[in-house]
Amino acid sequence: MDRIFSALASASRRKLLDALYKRNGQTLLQLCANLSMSRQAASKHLAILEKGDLVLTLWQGREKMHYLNPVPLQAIYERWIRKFEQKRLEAVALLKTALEEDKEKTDG
Amino acid sequence: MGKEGFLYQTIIATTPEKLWAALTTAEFTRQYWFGRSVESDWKPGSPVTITTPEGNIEVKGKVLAVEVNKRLSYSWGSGTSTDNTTVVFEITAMGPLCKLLITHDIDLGESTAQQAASGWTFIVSGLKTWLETGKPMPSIPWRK
Repeated sequence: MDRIFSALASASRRKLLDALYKRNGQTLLQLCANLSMSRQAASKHLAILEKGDLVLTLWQGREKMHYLNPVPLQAIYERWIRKFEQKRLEAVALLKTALEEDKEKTDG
Repeated sequence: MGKEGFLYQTIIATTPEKLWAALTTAEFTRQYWFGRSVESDWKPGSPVTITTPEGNIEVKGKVLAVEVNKRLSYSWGSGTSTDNTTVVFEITAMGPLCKLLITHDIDLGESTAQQAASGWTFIVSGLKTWLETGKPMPSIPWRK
């Protein structure tokens, strides 16, 4: 988990993930061009993202393509967000029931 | 896989044998694949079907390659589309853990691509939870 959060703790790295979400499978050069980031900076950030398992690479002939791996993000959702979501959904369901009961009373 | 497509990688505390069984046994896929049954006799050239809990065949494909406990690939035809995509599962043993890499060469031009992509994320997470805890992931309220 620590490595995922460290990987996400940078605006440039989040931009790289967004770029891969928009178009998965890009070379270092394509990512640099699209984000106007220097080659050095992009390759440093991509290495950190790879360590956090958020970016995977595959060689296609002579080109190294970068892909977004969404699985660790799902783990964050499961661990940190879902439990709050559950409470909120329950609250919405209760509200809906309460409002519908009210409506029935008014209609009746 | 071509240049475009989707990759999903996770590390699961399990054995290659158990992971293989989880991917190739309908009784197990129902536990983590949105209740779907993935069925085949897993011989190259044999049909593969993915059936919803309501009994509708959602995906039809053919087994392309089988290396038991290591690598499985099959073609993926959905709906009326005749352009099949290919899904590949690769299992790498890492001591007491297993690395699972799924690649799916969905054409990014397809409107369903992002939808299918988010589906895989849930399948992979559900598979990991199920293998590690023996329990299916609790159902997702807004997907009911």
